[in-house]
Order: sequence, then C-alpha cells, then structure tokens
Amino acid sequence: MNTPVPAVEITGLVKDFRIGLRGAKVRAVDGLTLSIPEGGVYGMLGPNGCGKSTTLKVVLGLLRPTRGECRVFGLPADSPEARSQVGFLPEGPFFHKHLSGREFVRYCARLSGVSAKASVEAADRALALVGLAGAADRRVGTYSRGMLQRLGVAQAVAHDPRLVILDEPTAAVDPVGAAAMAGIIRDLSARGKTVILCSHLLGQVEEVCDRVAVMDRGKLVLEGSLDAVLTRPGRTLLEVENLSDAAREAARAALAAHGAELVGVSHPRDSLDRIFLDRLSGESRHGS
Amino acid sequence: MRSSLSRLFLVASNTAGEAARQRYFLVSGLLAAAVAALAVALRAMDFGESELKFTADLGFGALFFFGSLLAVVLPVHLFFSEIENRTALTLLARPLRRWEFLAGKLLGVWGLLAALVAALVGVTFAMLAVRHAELVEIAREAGRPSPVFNALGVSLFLMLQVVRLGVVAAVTLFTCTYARSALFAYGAAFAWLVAGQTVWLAREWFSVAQGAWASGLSFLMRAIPDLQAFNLADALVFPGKAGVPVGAAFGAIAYGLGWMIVLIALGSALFKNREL
Amino acid sequence: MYRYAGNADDGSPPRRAAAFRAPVLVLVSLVAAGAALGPLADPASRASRPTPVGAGAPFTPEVAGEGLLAASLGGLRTLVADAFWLRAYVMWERKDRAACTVFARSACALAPESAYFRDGYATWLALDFPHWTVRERGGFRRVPQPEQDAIHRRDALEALAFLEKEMARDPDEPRYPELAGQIASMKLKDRALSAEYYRRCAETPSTPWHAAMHFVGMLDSDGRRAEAFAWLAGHAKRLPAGASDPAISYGAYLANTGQRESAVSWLRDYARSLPADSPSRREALAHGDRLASPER
Repeated sequence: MNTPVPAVEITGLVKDFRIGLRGAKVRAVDGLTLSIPEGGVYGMLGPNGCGKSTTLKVVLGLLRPTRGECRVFGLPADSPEARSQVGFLPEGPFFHKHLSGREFVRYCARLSGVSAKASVEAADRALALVGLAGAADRRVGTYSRGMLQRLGVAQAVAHDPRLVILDEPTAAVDPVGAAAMAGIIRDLSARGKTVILCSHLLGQVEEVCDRVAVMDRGKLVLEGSLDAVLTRPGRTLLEVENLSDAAREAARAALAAHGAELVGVSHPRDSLDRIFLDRLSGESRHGS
Repeated sequence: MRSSLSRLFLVASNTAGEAARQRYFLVSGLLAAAVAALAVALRAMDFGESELKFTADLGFGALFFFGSLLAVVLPVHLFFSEIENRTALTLLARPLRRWEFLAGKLLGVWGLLAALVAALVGVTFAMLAVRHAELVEIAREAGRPSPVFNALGVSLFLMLQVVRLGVVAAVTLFTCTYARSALFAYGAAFAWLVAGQTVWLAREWFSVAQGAWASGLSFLMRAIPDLQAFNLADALVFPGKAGVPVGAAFGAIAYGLGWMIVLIALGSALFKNREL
Repeated sequence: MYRYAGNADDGSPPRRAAAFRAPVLVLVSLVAAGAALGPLADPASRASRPTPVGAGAPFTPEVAGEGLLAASLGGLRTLVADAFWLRAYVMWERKDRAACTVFARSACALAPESAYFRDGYATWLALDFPHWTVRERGGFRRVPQPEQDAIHRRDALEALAFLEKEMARDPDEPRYPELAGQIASMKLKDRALSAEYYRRCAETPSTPWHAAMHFVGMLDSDGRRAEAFAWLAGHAKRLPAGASDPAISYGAYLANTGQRESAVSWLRDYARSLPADSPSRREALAHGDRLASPER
C-alpha cells in the first residue's frame, strides 16, 4: 500500500538569521519537524516571533534553511515544480496599484505557468470565488483593505494550486470581512485544497481548521487534530432546556449513582461574531 | 527556457507599465524634451561652434542628465517598492526565479529608457535635419562650405545612449541587491555613476604614474564600468576627417551589453542569498 | 525569535569568513569581467575623452582637475560650458574681472576642444582687463603712465602664458598664435616675438591667409627682409594652387596705408629674390612698377 505524500514535510528545520555588523546569530526556527497531510485546513498558531512566518517562508522557498529539509508534495520546497503547486497570501498585502484586479490576478496566474488564454478564465473564476467579480476592472489602488485581502486570495488560487498558504488573512479586517474569509477558506477546503492558515485569531482558527500546530520560541509545542487538541478527556457536555433546580439535583443524584460527577452548570453563550453578523443587513453581510 | 523567458517578459512588461505611470518619469521626459526643443529659441547664440553643434549639445545634454537620473531613480524605486510592499514575496513564492525577477526589472526599465532615448534623439535629430537643410541652402548662396552632420552617427549615438542607460540601470539594480535601504541604494548608485564617468581619468593617472602598485590599481579600476566610452556624440554626429568611428561605437555597445549581463548575473547571485 | 549562542556543529561557516567571502568574490568577478570586457571599450573611451590627458600631455593637477570636472558632467559638459560662457559675457558687460575670469576659465575647462572660448578669454585678458584695472584705480588720467604700462604688460604676459599652454595642447590651432602675435605686437611692442607667433600661425595646416602676410611684415619692419624672403621661398611650396602670395599682399597693404615707397622697394626686392621664371616674380614686378609710375 502506498503511503500518501504529505502536502508539506519539514524535517529538523533550523533557521538562523545574522543581524548587525558583527553578524550576531538569531535562531528563528529550532529543530522543527512537522508533517501536514494533504487536504483540510491546517492552522499554525503562536505568538509574534515564534517562527511561524519564517517556517512558511521556508515552505515557499523564499528562505533557505540553515539546516534541515522541507518538501512540498515530495519535492524540494525551493524547486519551481513545488512552487507551481503552491498559492500564497502574504500578511498585509499591497499589490501593484496600476493594474486592475483582473490584470493583477492574470499576471500572477501567468507567472505560475497558466497560458495567456487560460489565464483570462482562471482570473475570472478566482475573482468570482472571492466575491470580487464586480470590481474586477477597478484599479487595485482603489480597493479597500478587505478587498485587497480577497484579491490576495484570488491571486493565490488562480493557478489552481494544491496547497494554499494564508498568512494572517484577516489581519486588520472587520468581522464581516473575516467571516467572508472564513467562508472562502471552507470553500477551498471543500474543493480538495490543502490550506495552511497562519493567524493570531484563535476563534477563527478554531472555526475553520481541522488540525493545528502551536509554535513557541522556534519550537513546536503542540500538534494534532482540532478535536484531539481541544477535547478534555473524561469530560462530557450536556445541553438541556428548561433545567429547574429540582431537575438539576435529580440529575446530579442520578449521575452519582453511575459514578459520574456533575462539576458545573452554566448557560451556553453565542459568540459576539455571530450576534454581530446576525444583526447586519444582508448587503453588509456580503462585504464591500 | 521558453517559460523562463515568458516569465521574464511578464515581469518586464509589468515593470515598464508601472514605471511609465510614475509622475516623475513623465515630468522628466517632458522637461528633457522641452530642453532639447529650446535649441530652436537659442539658435542665434554663437559659441564659436556651428549652430547644429549647439542644438546637438542641448538635446544630448538633456538626454544625459535626465536619462542618468531616471536610470538610477526608476530601478531603486521599483525594486524597493516590491520589497517594502511585499509584492516581491507574492511573486517570488511562484515558480519565478530570482534572476528572472531581476532581469525582468532591468528589461522593463531599460525598455522604457530606450523609448525615452529614442524620443529625445528623435526630437534632436528632427531639429538638426530641418536646420541642416536650411543652413546648407544659406551656405550655398553665400559660397561658404556647408555644415556637416551625420545621420548614421546620430543612429549610432542613439544605440550607444540606450546601452549606456542600460548599464547605469544594471549597476543600480546590482546595487539594490545588496543595499538594505532605498536611501543607501540611491547613494551607492549615484556614486557608481560618478565613478563610471571619471574612472578613465583615474586609470590614465595610474598608467602615467610609475610602479607596480599603480599598474595594479589601474587594473583593479577595470571593475568599474567606463561610462566615458559612450560619450561619443561629437565624434559620431560631427565627424572630422577621420570619419564616423563605427568600430569604436560597436565596441562600446558590446562592452555595455557585456557589463549588463555580468551585473545582472552577479546581482542575481547576491539576491538569491538575500533573506526576504 | 530569540538570540542564540550558536553551536559548533550547526553547519554554518565561521562568521568572519562568511562575512568577507561574498564581497571578495563579487569584487574578483567585477575585476575579471572588467578585464575581459575593457579592451572592447578602449577605442571609444580614447575617442571620447574631453581633455588631452592621456594624449601625451603632462598630468598636472590643473589638467586632472579639468578632466575630473568634464568627466563628471559627461554629456552635459558642453551645455554647462555654454552656460558658463554666457555668464562670463554678463560679467564682461559689468566689467567684473574676477567673476568674468572664473566663468570664462570654467567654460574653457569644460570644453577643452573649444578654441573659441580660449581665444575669447585671452582677448579679454590682454585687451580688456588692463583697462578695467586702470579704471578701478582712478582712470587713465589719474594713474601714472608707467603704472598703466606695467598693468598692460602684466596682463599681456599672462595672456601669452595662457596661449602658450594652449599652443602646446593643440599645435594645429591657428587662432592661438595669431592672437599671441597681435598681443606681442600691440601690447609688448615686441616685433620679433610677434613675428615668431605669426610664423607659427602661418605654419599651421588651416592658417588664415593673412598670417603669413603679418609675419613677413613684422620681419620687414624689424629690418629682417632677407629672412622674410627666405621663409617665403619655403612657404610658397606649402601654398595651395591659386592662393594669393602673402608678399604681394603685404606690398598692397603698405601701399594702401600710405607707404608707397616702402611698398615699391619691398615688391622689387621680393621679385629679385625669386627665380626668373617664377610667376610671383612677374606679378611682384608688375605691382611694383604700377605703384612706382607717376600716373598713380
């Protein structure tokens, strides 16, 4: 039986930077070993400076490892063949302002090997996916922050890559834009793409990711499926309607009879995101 | 190779499009054309040289000044805007090699500078040709020898200036690959420009001076592209008895193209190791 | 990110070696490329040099400074030189010697190929500047004549020194010795020196027709007629076909300035110095006879 090739396989990755005239060494990633399976949404978490952006740049072939190895779909990460299978949205993107949205996405698609003829359709498809079809002919310089993020996703997916890497896709974007981005990520996942999501917003990661990795000081400190990471073993949550004091005491007694213990009772809460989005008009919900 | 060239030309056309939309490029181009056209108003001035020489001096002087300025400013601005706005990350995360990115930038800027040179030399050539025809008629009626200007020389001069600006742009992009800030790149590129203009003088001085150290330094000075080799305007446009130095002009063109390739190759090697 | 002391086994090269390797490699590559490509550009570089540096001229600090200024400006050099010359004209109008000198010399430095700028500057220096100096000191009525003469002489000598340097640079340019001849004659009253400059002018390839006439005239007025005829014999071989004979032109000049007897004597002596079959001899005799005839 063939073992499936992981989307990304990092082995013993070390990345040092030299800073200052004397070349003092700063270690950004310290012996990272990680395997990201193909398919699904993979979240990379960690505080500022934990090494996740450096790791992503190594995966994208933008940085050379000091030591260790990184492969994308079994190919060396810095090879053009590997990079043609990857789409990337950098953090806080600025794109060429003189081009229209369509021209920019076409330009990116063509750089990834899409033919001139096919790039027209590819650009339109990608722009439609992110809800920018109506603004495709506007100059990028006139786009709002949220539109730029969505354009960034469009350029990342226009050449139909197998792996899409999104670095802080909702940074400085309002909740409407963040919700739209979450929708796009789920859509990409549903199309069979592997998505790596790098974000500070833990709520968003929890909402869309299947697996997560947490990094700190250049090292991997936690990795696994979201369920496995978040589930507290041995504990169960029941959701009950119309629970009176008497019923609660009866339930506690019944549970005790079976060796279980009721440790807490509280009211389930909605997220502020959901309430905010529910109160907006339909037009606003789709973003500008 | 074909896809490599295709990517290179994509970067080049995007760079040229972006550069052409820069306000300072348009303003510089218009100013240069205005200075060249000023020769019509100033042609009554007599500096002991022929009127045609004054017209050529004005047009080619404007080209030298504004062309050099743009050949430094455009590459630095376009290179660092890609780095600082992180569009370089978006592009280089694709199957775009760093040498393709750098060569594409050079080709885009060079194409635009070539268009500027062609326009300015065209304006100057038109003024020279029209006035030359008038002066030939005046000289014939007065029984004086006709003024001379050489159209072949003008076209060779055009090629030389295109290559010269290509070398300046290549030196500037080479500088960008190791510069950590745009300000440093501007300073270093202008220093290269001045060094390129004056290196022949230093080499000449070292060749006159005695001693192995002087010969060694003269040899080391070869590391700076000699831009004086492209200032053949007088010899080409108003040739003396020796005629148009065609061989020397083509030698300089080959020299410039060689330097452009070397500088982009070295720049690519430096850029490849640059942490983005 | 955090600072890290580094390991001996981390695979990275030693810090100092790594820091120096890339710049040294780049420098070596640039020198190698320059050495390989340089010979291609050498003919063009030599053909386009704006100064005589490297063409056998001594590499003095002044020449090097001129070269540096001209080379730095590149293709803008002649335009800036023209602008400086215009400014020098403005200063000339204001009779500001210091400013006029600065702009004129800057124009000369930027356009070493322009004899026009040099000729103009030397003319101002010898013929205009001394008058301005005298005027500044109170005018020609107040300044004693010996002091005025000294001022004129000093500036004339300075102009001649300037022109001598230019003649060394460009020995084929006739304008420098011609002006030097005028200055030596008008300001220094030195006919022998003036004659020498006119000879040099007359022997340049593109000499004006009157240079030889002035030369032989200077020799004649200096009592060196035989020497003049000997030189004219050699000069005749250099004259293009159909060119007027400078000796006959000088005779006409003497006649037109009221020196008929001197003219006749000159022309007859000249005719005698020439071979019997020389066309110039017949022409000189005819001119001399015509001037000597009482009907005239």
